Amino acid sequence: MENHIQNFIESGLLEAYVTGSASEAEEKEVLYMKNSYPQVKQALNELEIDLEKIAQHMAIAPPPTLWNRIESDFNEITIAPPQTPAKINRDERREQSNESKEPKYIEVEGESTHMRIHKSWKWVFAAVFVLGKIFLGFAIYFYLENRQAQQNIQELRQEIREIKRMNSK
Amino acid sequence: MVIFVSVIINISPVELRVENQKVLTANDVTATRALYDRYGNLLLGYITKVVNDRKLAEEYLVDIFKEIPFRLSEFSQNQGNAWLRLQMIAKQKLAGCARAQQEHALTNSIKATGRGDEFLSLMNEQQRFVFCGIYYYQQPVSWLAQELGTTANDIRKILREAFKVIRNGKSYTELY
Repeated sequence: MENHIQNFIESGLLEAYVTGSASEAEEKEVLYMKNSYPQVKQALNELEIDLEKIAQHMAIAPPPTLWNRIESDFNEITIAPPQTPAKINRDERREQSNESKEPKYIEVEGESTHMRIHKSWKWVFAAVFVLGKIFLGFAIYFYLENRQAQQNIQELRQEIREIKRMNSK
Repeated sequence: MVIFVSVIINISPVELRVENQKVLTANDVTATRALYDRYGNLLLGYITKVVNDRKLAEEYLVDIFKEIPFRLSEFSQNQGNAWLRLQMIAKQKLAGCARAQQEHALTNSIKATGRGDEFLSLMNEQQRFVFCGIYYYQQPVSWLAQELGTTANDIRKILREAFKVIRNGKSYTELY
């Protein structure tokens, strides 16, 4: 019997099963052997670990926005768990009204470094960006204008000084 | 632009599956998120290797994980570990694309110079051909046997040797 199990393990059928290349009949045989013999189950577990090991070597982190794309699809078809109204007697209500004076929130320090905001904010950011560029343009323009004016004033002062000097002579 | 066109061409239209009519709950989404956090990077690496296009691989990943909440029951049944199940689902999605690449991609795989190909580089050409043909490109055992001029049983033996190389991190000649 031991030989039979060993031959089965060494036949390569388990490898074919974990890589999805086994036929339907072979898959059934593997599942039967797995459930019947712990050695086969152990060998199969080891192969699954091997597959995960090779996948880890080739892993590529998905971009942070990718999950949002998946989740947005779920949001359209997900139902919230039904909210059942709780029965509250007067005493409980009084207790609740006392509690309500305290702020009702739980302090949570989020582990995620990302923040989700509403899509409409993109227009605000675009407007801020455009306005920023306009103000920058104005600032440069007025700076140059101011510099030009300063130069003109200097020249005029120079001319006045020269005229005064000539008059005094 | 080229990537965008290739995405449109390669991705099959969304299938309206009967099981997709199930209504999702918050728990389904949470379970899917847990699988995504644990295996998303592994799956993206695997798909990228198969389709050889990062953007297209991301599209496939999105497509696969959109389907997961409707197939969560498969993860709780006695059908191997979660990674194996995820990979099987990915293989179903990639079947056409993977097989279409066969010869060109297999030839490239035999060179084994890409990122994460450390294990492949330890295998000999025959092992690499069989392992990549089955694991990445879903080639039938009979086709591989015909290509190598051998039998289906020998192909399985070669596949087993390839797994030994992965497990031990040593080439087959070093092992024996």
